[in-house]
Amino acid sequence: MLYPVVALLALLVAVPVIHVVVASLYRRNLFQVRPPRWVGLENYYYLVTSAKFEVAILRSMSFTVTALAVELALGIALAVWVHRMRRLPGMGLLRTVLAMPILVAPVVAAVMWRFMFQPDFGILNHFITGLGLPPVGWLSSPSIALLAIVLIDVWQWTPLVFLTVLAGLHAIPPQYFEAAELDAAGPWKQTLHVALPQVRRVIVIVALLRLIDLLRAFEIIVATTQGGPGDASYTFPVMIWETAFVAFEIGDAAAASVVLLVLVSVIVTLLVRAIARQGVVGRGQG
Amino acid sequence: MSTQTDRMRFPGHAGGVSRREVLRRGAAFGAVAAAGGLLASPAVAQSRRIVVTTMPGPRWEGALRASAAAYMARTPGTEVEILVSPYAEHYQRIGTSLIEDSTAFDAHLFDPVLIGQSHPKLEPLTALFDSDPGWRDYYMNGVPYFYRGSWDWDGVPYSIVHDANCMMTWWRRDVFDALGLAEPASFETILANAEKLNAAKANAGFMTCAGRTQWFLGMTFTGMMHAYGGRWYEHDEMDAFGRIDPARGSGAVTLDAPAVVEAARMLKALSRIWNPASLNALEFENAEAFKNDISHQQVMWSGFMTLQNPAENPRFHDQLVSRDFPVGGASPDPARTGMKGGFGLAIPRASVNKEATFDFAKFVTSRENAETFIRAGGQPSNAELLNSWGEQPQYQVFRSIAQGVANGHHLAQFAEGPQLFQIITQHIGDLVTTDIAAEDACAAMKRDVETLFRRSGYL
Amino acid sequence: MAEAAPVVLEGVGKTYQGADRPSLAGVSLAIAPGAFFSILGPSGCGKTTLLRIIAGFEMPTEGRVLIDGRDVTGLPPRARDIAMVFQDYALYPHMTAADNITFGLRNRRVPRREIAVRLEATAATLGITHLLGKRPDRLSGGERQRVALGRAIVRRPRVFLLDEPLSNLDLKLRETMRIELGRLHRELGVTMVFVTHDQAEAMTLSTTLAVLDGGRLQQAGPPDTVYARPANRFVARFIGSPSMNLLAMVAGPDGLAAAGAPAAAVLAAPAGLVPGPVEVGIRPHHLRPAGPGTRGLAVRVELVEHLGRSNFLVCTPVDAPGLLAAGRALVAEVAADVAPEPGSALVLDAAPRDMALFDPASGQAIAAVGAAGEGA
Repeated sequence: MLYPVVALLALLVAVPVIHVVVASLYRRNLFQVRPPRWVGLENYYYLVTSAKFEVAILRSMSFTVTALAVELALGIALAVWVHRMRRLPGMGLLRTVLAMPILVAPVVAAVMWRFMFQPDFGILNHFITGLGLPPVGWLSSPSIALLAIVLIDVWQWTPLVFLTVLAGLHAIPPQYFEAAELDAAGPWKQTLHVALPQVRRVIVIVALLRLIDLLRAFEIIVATTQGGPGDASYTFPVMIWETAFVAFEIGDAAAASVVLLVLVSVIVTLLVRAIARQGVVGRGQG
Repeated sequence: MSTQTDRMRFPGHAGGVSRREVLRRGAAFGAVAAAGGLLASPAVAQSRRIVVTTMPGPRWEGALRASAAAYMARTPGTEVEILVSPYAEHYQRIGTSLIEDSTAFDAHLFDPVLIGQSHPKLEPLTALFDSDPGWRDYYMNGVPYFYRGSWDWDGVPYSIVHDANCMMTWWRRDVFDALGLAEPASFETILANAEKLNAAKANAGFMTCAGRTQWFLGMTFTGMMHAYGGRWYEHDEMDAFGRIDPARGSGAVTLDAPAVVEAARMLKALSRIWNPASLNALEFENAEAFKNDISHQQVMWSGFMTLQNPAENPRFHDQLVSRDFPVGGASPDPARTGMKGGFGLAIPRASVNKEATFDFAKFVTSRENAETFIRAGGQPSNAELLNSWGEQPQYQVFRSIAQGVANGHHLAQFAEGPQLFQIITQHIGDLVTTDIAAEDACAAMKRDVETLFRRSGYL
Repeated sequence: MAEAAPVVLEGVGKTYQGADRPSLAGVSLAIAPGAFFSILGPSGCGKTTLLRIIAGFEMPTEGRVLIDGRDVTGLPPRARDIAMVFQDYALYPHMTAADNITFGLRNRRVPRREIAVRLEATAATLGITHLLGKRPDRLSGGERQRVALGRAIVRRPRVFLLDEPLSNLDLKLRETMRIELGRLHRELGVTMVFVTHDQAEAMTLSTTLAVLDGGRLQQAGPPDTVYARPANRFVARFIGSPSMNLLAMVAGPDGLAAAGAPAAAVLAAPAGLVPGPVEVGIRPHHLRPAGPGTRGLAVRVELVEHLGRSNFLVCTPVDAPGLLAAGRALVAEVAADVAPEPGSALVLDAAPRDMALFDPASGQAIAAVGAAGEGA
């Protein structure tokens, strides 16, 4: 019974991938009624030699690295703090409130933030100008737009890191903290030497999940800047989206999708291997 | 390609009718249609039903639904069904139904950029046009040739063009009067006005939809480029309707010509003083900027017509003025103005109700239906209607549309047109967000378009 | 090593928020410096709570905790100069044994050289020098236990708390470690407070034993006293295996007669016993078979359990329905060569000095008996 199931799963994964790979070998416009033309690897050649390819890679990297770093740091810090304060009344409610952004659809979140970011009548600039500061072009300033999008992603996905790490922290037997307390470890050392090492695997897994998600993220970018201003937030997935649904070039978009798939797979595989070598994933602990 | 830009428009802002209003009216029309059907059925043996696809929003769905209700009341025995899909799905529906020769549809709301690829699957309308010389002459004389020609292929019309749109300049008359500013009839004037307006009130001088948002920036720039006398490529001529004849090719790409660089410099100069929100504004945000007294001079599509409606813009509706996108600088030629867009009704070859559908399309564009069509949110294509209705302050924009569609440049109507705009948007985006010089941005733009054209066999 | 400190609990009580009855109530104890003090009791008796109150992980809702005469009730654990070995050791999984042991010293800014010296000494004491570089997941249960002990010892605390430290070990290892703990206690000379539910551990290791039940202290004293002179019926039943036989009897002028039986006195009564109903506790090994016809408890042997060194005779009384609580049998431990046939009749006798006497109403020991030892 196992083999048919595995075969079915493999098929479910393979069929769309094969479909995309095949599509990437044709030059084909979404609205072309005439048949697609076989071009071999030409779409890949034009992709990697285009100026936007380099830009898209760079933007994707800075978006992913920044958002990942902030989400992990903030999520872990929040989890550690809420865990330390877990005995205080109201922490359960706080946890629920902090988790709410996950429930919002990314596009809805992006549109909501877009209104808040609006430079002339958005709420953020209302406060900023109220403090006597100059208005900020959240999504219209080329140097800030990508960070503003990072902010949206951080708002939406830090709770995932927070909740996962918090669950990990709650699973640590309290004796470890009591032992550390007797060992005169202060809050900082307890966090560093007791809490975090014990949730290391949880952190690695949630970081991998976020990494994969960030490398593929495009909804919030499309719903806020569509890659702009200029190419300030032109990430790889946005490039794919634009090629497929603005320029309607299905072949080019498929080629770019294959490249992204390979890039994500390579990055994730390398990371998983590096981590496995560190003994964080896979082996149990005492 | 107004289809793309219009996607960004919120229905409530698009045609002087709120979405709720459209829904309410739709329900009312449905009731009328049902009643009509009941009355008609005993009299007519077989009731004909024609299906028309459209996108949502008062300008398309609203105007067509209102027209359909009026048509059904007038023509017992014909039922018109208006089938609405979201923006992106509308194009997919057209594409797949044409590929499959589907008989499920009798007319599609049609974008001219699709004509080149789709015309073999569409009904040539010459014979049907000739079947009603009265209407034909009204239509041919009323809808400017340089506009409706976008829906032709090899001299054969493939749509009844009922909707018009173009880029234009909008400004606040009261503010201009108070500051003694000139009508923005050229880019130089726009720039001079912008500086004075900014001095009077921060960020009020100039605003446009730009950033990377769809192709706004590319559209704005392309309009300027043509206005300065530039071309995309050597054979980019008015009567080529933004197409490339595969036999003749595109000719040399001319995106580094002096007129193009001049336009790039002007846009860069404007970007130095424009409302920074321009770099990432959606059309409705531009509308809000006008309504809330933030911006006083903008370049935008005709979708702003809603702002001349007292219900939509209670404070400044009577102060908001439009004109076609101005010429300037190197080219004083009034015929070279901004971009135009718009829609027609195309009948698929596979349709089994061609005559009936044509009859409905004629009705949609007729004088008789004009009031219904316009009040529901439509923007007619007939210059006669545009100019007469344009005398009312609330429809002043119609005069600008009449001017714009007669002169404005066509969209890129070859298969790679969307990519052309993508490339232009990318490099003009660089130009206005980085320190790159206009010459370098134009040279890079030219290189990328050359690559695209070589790939497509145009070069 | 640091000097051992006394630990005094004064009326310590703990009621958790929302609980309808206290987990601990009115516990007063004096733990002598250098004592090996075991807290024994069934699950849920409050023994771990009591230990955690001494450690400072729990705040008592009433009463005081004094360590070395100082009131530490409000002090955090780290300020109490105590060390603790946890039931599941709570070794830091990412640290080597050496780092685990020295973590507290490093946090307390003990000079590096001294840390090295103390680590070496501790490791030598526990015989774990070869394990110092290993992480806990590479150690066996017993090795982890020693590292956990090392982490406590190296601090040289004045009070050493152990929370069921042997319960995670298998039987054989547990015996080894029990001996080891005894040796450590002698060598280190610190006050050790040891929580266990295993009376064999408590009996063998302790200098003083405290029995807890239902959050209340039942008895505290030297193990042999607690064993021989249980302060009440609970302690009598809880300490010892098989547990003490509790017989409902009536003291009369001739001696003790079974309650509710018309027969005459069957056992000699301790001197000075007030006539009337009394509950008599007799350890199984204090019941001796007497010859037929002699005075004693007439029983029928139901079962003989051979333990090698001795035999357990499981018996039911004859003609004395009220003698035992319902469902209980009389157990006598006899020499291995005494093995009557099941079903045979037997008479059992016990000496008055081996009897523990309880008030049948209160279950408390009757102290006015001229016997050795002391009550609670």
